[in-house]
Amino acid sequence: MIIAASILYFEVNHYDDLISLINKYKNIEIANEDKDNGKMVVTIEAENNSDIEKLEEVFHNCDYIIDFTHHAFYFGDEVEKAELTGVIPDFDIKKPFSKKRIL
Amino acid sequence: MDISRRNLIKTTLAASAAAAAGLTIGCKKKEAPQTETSAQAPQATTTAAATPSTVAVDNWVKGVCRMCGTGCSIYVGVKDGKMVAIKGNVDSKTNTKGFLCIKGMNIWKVAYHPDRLTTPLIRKNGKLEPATWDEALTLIETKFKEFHKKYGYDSVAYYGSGQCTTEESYTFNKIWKGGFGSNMMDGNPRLCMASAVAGYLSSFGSDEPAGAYEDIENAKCIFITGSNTSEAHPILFRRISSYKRQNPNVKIIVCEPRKTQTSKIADLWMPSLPGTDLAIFNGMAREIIKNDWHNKEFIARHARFTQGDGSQAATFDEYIKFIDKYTPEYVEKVTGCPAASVKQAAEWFAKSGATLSLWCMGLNQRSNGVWANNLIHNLHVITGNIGKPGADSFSLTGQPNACGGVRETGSLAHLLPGCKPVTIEPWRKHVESYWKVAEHSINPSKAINPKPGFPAVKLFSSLGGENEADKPVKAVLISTTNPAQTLPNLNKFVPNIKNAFTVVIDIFPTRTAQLASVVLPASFLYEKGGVYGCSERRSFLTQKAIEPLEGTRADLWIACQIAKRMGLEKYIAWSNEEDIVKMAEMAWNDYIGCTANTEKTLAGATYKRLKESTTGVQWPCPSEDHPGTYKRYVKGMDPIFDDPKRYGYNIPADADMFFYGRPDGKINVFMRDAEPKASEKISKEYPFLMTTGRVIEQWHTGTMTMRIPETAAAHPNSYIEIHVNDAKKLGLSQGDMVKVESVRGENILPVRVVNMTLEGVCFVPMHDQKGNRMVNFICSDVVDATSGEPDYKVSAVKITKVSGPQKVDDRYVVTKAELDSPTFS
Repeated sequence: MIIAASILYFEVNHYDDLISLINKYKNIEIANEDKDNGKMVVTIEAENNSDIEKLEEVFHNCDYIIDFTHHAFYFGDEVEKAELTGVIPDFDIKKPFSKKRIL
Repeated sequence: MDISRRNLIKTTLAASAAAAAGLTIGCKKKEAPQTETSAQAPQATTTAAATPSTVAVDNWVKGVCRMCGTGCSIYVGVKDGKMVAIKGNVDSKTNTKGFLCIKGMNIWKVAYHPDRLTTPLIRKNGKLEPATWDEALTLIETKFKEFHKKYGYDSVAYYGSGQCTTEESYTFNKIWKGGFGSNMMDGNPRLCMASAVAGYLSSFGSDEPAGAYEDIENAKCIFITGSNTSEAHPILFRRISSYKRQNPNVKIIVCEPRKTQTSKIADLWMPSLPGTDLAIFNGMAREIIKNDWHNKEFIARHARFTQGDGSQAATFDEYIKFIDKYTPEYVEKVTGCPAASVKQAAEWFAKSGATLSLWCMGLNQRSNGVWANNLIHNLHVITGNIGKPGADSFSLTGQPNACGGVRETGSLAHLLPGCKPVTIEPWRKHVESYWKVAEHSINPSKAINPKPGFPAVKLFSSLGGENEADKPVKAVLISTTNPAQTLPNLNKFVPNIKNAFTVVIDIFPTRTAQLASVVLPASFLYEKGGVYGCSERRSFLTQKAIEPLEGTRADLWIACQIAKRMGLEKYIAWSNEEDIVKMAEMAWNDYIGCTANTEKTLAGATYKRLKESTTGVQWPCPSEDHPGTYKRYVKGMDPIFDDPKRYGYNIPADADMFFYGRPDGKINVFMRDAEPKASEKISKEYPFLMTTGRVIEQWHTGTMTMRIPETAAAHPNSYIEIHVNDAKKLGLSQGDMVKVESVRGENILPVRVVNMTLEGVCFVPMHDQKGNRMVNFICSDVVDATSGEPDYKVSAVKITKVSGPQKVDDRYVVTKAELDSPTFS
């Protein structure tokens, strides 16, 4: 399991929409917020890469979410697994600047 | 993981994220700044249910991310002696608000990777076999002494890295230049930053920028050229894009052959054929002067017009006459950049009020890289865009310690500590005296050699076996870099590295390790600590967070063992110390003492201060009570003005701005012809211009990033980007395999058809380790005549279809099992 602490920047007049969106996900908790300035800190629990990736896709496709960025990660369990198995776990954190070059 | 522990971790991380976002609501206190025990860890009142206790992490240990050149500040969370978490440093002046990118987030995967080298290896009968540290070091000692005796002190070379710590680079520099009396040492910054060094030295008389990253948020116009900032310096790009988003009137100009992600935030993209952008810079200067947008007062006070090597002064009128041919229309014809764009860029550059230029390898890795740097500086001088907030001519580095570790410690073939040339006798005598070379050197000359050694390309051209009479360099110690993949025209250099007595210090198997006579397994940065100095003159201490992986040793320890065995035990005083942290501190103290009376002084950045600081220290910083310097050359900000004679300068008492690196205090404005005469030209046989570079997920030769699953997966293999119209002409479709061929070598690569480059221009990333996808087999080894930096950005190639699409996303890395079988195919 990994735990991420991430920051959402959103359009202030869409606060209720954002709350509705976040409430759909059991693995996201709102840790702190500044409604007036459109900032929110969330924590995300993820068992595997696709958990976070799917969330990011949703957030990045949301017009009223201006930015979504990770600040801190906990990966202690993954270190244990890596040391025990000799395999580096393959969880994805989506690139902050994804690129679409191909026509 | 039980719920209470999970909640505790979430609470701890969320509090830090809240601080990063500037959220104070509910937070009882801001995060403690230093290495902190969990008892002192931030406690936050959040909506996430949690009861803070003392078990989330044992310590948050301060450090620098080592995965690109930006120099982001991080905290590594340590629990039971293991790295278990990472977070950005919210106090950071570099990665403001503590943001981190994907590479930084995954540092731990490098530390715990099963591919880590853990045993010294010695080549016996063609095979690298495990050895003890004593056996390996004894062999190195024997060979070095033998070569010194048989072939002279210049027969044993050192080749370092902008990823070694400052203490490590300084120690190796001191051993070689003072201890051995040999300047036969260079480093990989020669391949990326040497043109910037020579550019600053020739224009300003002193290396490194006047300003800092915080100029980003003060600029009214940002001119990005020769830099795909979004991918090579993602956190800086985040700063720029965030600033632009909040200040839409700020103009962003991107001048690049490819329309990269960086240009997505630009108000103006200025395309240019590879190697031609000097014409754009001269054209902008012409347009600025023609429209009377230049800053006459600044020019009168701070500009010295010159031509050739700078020795002869010229007049402003002569400069105007020189650049007159660079009309917007002429520039368009030469570069492919629309004339209207040249005019627009000139206007925004000159009239914005504060323009910041940022560039990187796109300008430096060129046959005319120094001149390109000079011409950017010219634009800042004629518009007065230096010495005020938001205005600077700022070269970005490609490695986190290229500036601090290599440029400032003088760990290149032609430099001494303080970034001063070995040819300058007074400074050479100072260093000799400070190091007590006459007392300690093993070279009978008992002096530092006044003649520069060989820059990287010449060094590796001169490297070879004992049976090669034309190769005077017989041994090389290579630390933390991978020249068997990074040098241009690799077919020329791979045999040399293999034939010589080559010692490689690294944490992973690499292409260079495959050719080595001895491989020494190194400790990772967070297992040893040390200082890194980033592009903005800021030195920051990474503290040792965890114990080294068993079997590995810090480069500094290795340097000290070599020093002791070569008879330099007293000379390198810290070689007798056991504790790596104390060794590093002693080396740092020696270094800042040596350079205390230079403009690069970090005398005030004591280890104690660096341990306590959450922001690092920017030179000049002459004393512990000095805050460090945001802007150089400005009275009231730059401490050199307070006591110029101490630093060997004369600054008039009434000067409020003075470029003291030059005797007259003025910046050279050079008349530089734009034509890249030495660069390779396209021909009927080789009709495409190939340029190379980075992608966001990968760094350098992928030694680390190709071992991080998600970054490897994002770019598992190299490829060639070609314009859709060129693809049509060649009958190529997406994914087709092509042979990309220059007169030097070839690659077999899948095609990516794009519309974000100019026709006739193609691009290949540089990270892939697979032999027939290593682009440097193709690249030109022409170098800039002044800086010695190779022309990676301009190679003439032909492209021919080999087959339809094939699966090549193999995430290839050199494995331990392949150390003995270097198949570069």
